[in-house]
Amino acid sequence: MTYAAFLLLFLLLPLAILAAILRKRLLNRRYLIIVGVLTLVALLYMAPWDHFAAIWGLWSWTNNRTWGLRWWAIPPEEYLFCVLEALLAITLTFAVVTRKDARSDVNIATLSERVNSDGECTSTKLYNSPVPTKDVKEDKEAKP
Amino acid sequence: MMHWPYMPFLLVWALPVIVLQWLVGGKYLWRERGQWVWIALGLCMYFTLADAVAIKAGIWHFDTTSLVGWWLGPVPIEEVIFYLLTATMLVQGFVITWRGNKS
Repeated sequence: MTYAAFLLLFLLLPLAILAAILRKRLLNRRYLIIVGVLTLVALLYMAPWDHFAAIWGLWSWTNNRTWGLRWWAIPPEEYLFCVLEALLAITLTFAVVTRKDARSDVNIATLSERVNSDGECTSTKLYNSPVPTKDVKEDKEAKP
Repeated sequence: MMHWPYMPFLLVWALPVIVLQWLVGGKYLWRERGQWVWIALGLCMYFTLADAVAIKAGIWHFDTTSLVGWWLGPVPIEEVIFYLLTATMLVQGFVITWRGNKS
């Protein structure tokens, strides 16, 4: 297995699955800004540290398992690892932290769909009487 | 060439960031501890497992004279701590910025 195949299997694949689950929830401006800034900070903080470890020989990479390039003493795959780890960790946290908000959004959506299609709300806990939303609106508009 | 062993080099690099994050956003981190701690631990376990595969596949290897010498299968304990600390920095970083500028 090459380093690139490793990245594909253990980083990119779970990230793609996570993205497929979250879909539109990822189009959140604040999330996109935070994930961009934090990933950049992670990359800048990791690079010099990894570089020193590499020139000291704390760890090394097998030549025929990498593309063979070195930026500083580090293969490009290592920078990708850092970026993908940051994306995965932050996106997973975003998914967990916002899952309650997402659930209540879904509930509201289902509720309003029911009201619209049936013309009345079936949830007696929230509404005691049928709520013909359309009619109410028209009545209000009709009254001077 | 004289150099640091892996463990102190790792701790000196990562711990100041974690301390700083607690100084800045300890309020949020403590309040949300029930959530992010499990994410960080889960990520640490996942990446340790992935690391074992990479080491077995010979993608990267370590200078054993710079290691403490405790192993989890093929994975040096330093790597487990590396994934724990990097996941913690990232997850905490997100929790603080997400909760911190909500208003």
